[in-house]
Amino acid sequence: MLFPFIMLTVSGQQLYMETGKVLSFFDYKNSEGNSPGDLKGSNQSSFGLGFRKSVMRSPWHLSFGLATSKYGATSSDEELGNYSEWEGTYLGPNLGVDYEFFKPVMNPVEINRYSFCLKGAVAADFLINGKQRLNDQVFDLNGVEEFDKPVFFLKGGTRFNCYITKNYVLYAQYMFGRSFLFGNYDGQEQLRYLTHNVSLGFSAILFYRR
Amino acid sequence: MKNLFLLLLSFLWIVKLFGQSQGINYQAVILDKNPQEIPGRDISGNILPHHPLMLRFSILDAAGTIEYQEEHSITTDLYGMINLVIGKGTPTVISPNAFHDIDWNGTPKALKVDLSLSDTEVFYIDFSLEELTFVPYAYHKNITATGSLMVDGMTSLKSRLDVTNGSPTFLSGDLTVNEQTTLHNDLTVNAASSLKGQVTINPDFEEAGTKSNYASYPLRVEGSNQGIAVKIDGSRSSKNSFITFWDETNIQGRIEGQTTTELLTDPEYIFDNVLFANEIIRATVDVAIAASAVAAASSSSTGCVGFGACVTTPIPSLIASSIAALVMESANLVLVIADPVLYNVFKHTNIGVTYQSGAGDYAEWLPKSNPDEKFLPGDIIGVKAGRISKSTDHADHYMVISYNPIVLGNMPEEGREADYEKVAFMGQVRVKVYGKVQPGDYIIPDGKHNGAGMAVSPENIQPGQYHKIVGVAWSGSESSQYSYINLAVGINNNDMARLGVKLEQKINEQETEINNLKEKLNQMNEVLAQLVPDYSSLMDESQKTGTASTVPSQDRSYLLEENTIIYYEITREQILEGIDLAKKTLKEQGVDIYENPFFKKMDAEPGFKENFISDALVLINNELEKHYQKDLESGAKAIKFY
Repeated sequence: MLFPFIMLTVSGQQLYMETGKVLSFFDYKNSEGNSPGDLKGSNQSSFGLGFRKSVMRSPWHLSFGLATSKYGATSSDEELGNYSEWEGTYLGPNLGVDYEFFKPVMNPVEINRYSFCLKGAVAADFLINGKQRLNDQVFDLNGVEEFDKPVFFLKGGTRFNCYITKNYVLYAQYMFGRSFLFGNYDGQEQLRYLTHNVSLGFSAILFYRR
Repeated sequence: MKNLFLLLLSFLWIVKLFGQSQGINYQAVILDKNPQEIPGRDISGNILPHHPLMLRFSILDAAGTIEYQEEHSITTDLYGMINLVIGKGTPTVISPNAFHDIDWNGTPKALKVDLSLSDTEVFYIDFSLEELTFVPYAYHKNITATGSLMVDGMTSLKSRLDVTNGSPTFLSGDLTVNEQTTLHNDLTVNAASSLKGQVTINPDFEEAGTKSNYASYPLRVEGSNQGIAVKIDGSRSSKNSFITFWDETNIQGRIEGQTTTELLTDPEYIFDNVLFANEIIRATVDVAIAASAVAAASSSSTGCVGFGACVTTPIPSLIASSIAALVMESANLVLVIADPVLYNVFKHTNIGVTYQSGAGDYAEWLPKSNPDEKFLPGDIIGVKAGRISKSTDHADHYMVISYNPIVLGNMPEEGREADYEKVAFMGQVRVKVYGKVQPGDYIIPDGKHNGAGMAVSPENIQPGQYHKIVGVAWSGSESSQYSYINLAVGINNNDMARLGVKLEQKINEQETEINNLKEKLNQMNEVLAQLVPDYSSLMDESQKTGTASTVPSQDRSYLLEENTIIYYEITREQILEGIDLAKKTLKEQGVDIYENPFFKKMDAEPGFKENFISDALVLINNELEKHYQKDLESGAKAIKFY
């Protein structure tokens, strides 16, 4: 899938790979619109691959990638004695745009130059597998109402780039995501995700034009 | 969360009795019927802790009708559990009964539970409807088991036990009853019984039976050749009563222990022996009088007055009758002597118990001459040939109708009691009298044939009244009309003896007077012989017309004195003649001489007969000698031919 993109771009094209940790929270309302107060976040992992390209040699960049992420949460009701734990693995594309500040112009011998980006993205995650631990029981989340729909995210964050060389970049990125729902959910349970994704990535500039 | 929960109830209940208050222990855990919504799979079966709620319990009969209903306001605990007692709640206004009035009669019953999740805004929803099966019945006060009830362990019944429908009850083990036991029907005991407490038989007969009715007796002993045995602790004495008789007021009699010492000091025993002694004295006096009469008869010759004096021989029939009287008195003496011997042998042989009673006399049933004649206790009656009547003319005996005898003999046949009356034979008895009575007076019939008697003092009693004496008054009366006094009957023989002695004295006085008259008559004859010529021949002619035989002058010439008293010897033949005459006389009086011990012995033992004849001859000759000596002492001229 990446190959056509690569072939279509000819300059300023980067491939990246990143991995990190995702701290996810459930923003849940039951059918009566009430939110239980005992939901807590869960620390999971993420991994992504993608393509980033400068737009018209400007500081703006577009990126497109695939990412797999694990989202989860826990709940503990001391009064009723219930404990729940969710964990789901999602896979989906994401499309982002960022603006890079202080982008260095490097000669081939230069190393360790830095830049800073602000980034926004949209993503759609599809549940690959998931489970729910309820007290002493484990349930499959596939087919469960709140989990069987795609999760659409709006994400925003920042990225710090370290140009190791003219063609290789290490970066650290933080992205905050919030899912949103499509359709009418009146009288139904609503589940949205809040994510804090911190990741480290590596990108390589495939075609650098002098 | 919705305001209204739909609850799934998981409950259990235990039925138990709490002492005096009955109830059904009810425990339940209340779970949220709606699942708890969480992301993913919702949570179902959540408990409902610390939640106030209202519960309404209804016990329904088979038709679904409410027999009992109550409400409870309660809050679930930490674990969503409630714990209460059905029966201790607040009965609702529609509850027809109190809980303890529920009739667990074996028909199906159900427990319906309604729940309100708020104790302020009560809105009941159906909670459960369960049939009450074994447990509530088994522990509740009213149990109706339609089948068999088997209890393998110990059973403790804290209230009454009824076995109804005429169902029998069988116990294969011992039965111990610590409290009183009441049986409302027959009790059959097929083994020996030991009753260590006091036993009171208090039957509640619908109709009191007569004393002749066997069924009217509360205690009947049958099925054995023996009757009742009464065994007291220790040895018998008068302090131990074998049987005591009570009426509604007091003790009326008893059968008590008696020792030899107590018998010898028993007033009744002493009294009886005194009576026997007096009877012997009286009989002995009678024999003496009879012997004296024989002596008098044997000397009943009369001197011939005038010249050629002669002497007439005693009248043979007079001698024979006097000897017969002697024989009869002797026979009576034998009986009288035999009686106390037999009495004492009996008393000492049968010593052991004595019978005491407030009743005062010994009586027998005697038949009425006229069954229609009415008698009252205390009436004086005459006895003729063993039959009684108020008519006392020519009666053989005079007796009194008894009121309450201590011993009553000669019981008549069943149904013939009306033809008999209880007649006192001995003891104290109330008697109806007319006029004043002093203690010690003799009571004789008043001659009006109305059952009343009259008092005669011992000083004024006439010989002709002796046989009419009914008894001796032991109490007096100042009334000039009819009244009742206490009379001693059958025990006045000593009085009769005194009367006999008194009569003997009178006879002796009269004999002396007759002798004096004889002497004066002889003196008159002597005077008349001097004054009247041929007086002696005239007297001889007069004497020849008499019945006396003349003693041949040639045989008794030396006796020919006019005032000579001659005593003839009583011969053995005369005694035998008297015995035959006594038998004849007694037979005429209806006496069975073949059963008379005296005559039986006379006939059976020749030695006894000869001894009696010898004794009689000695007795008579002693009397003749006493009379002879007495005549000599009086100055009369007496000659004896023996």
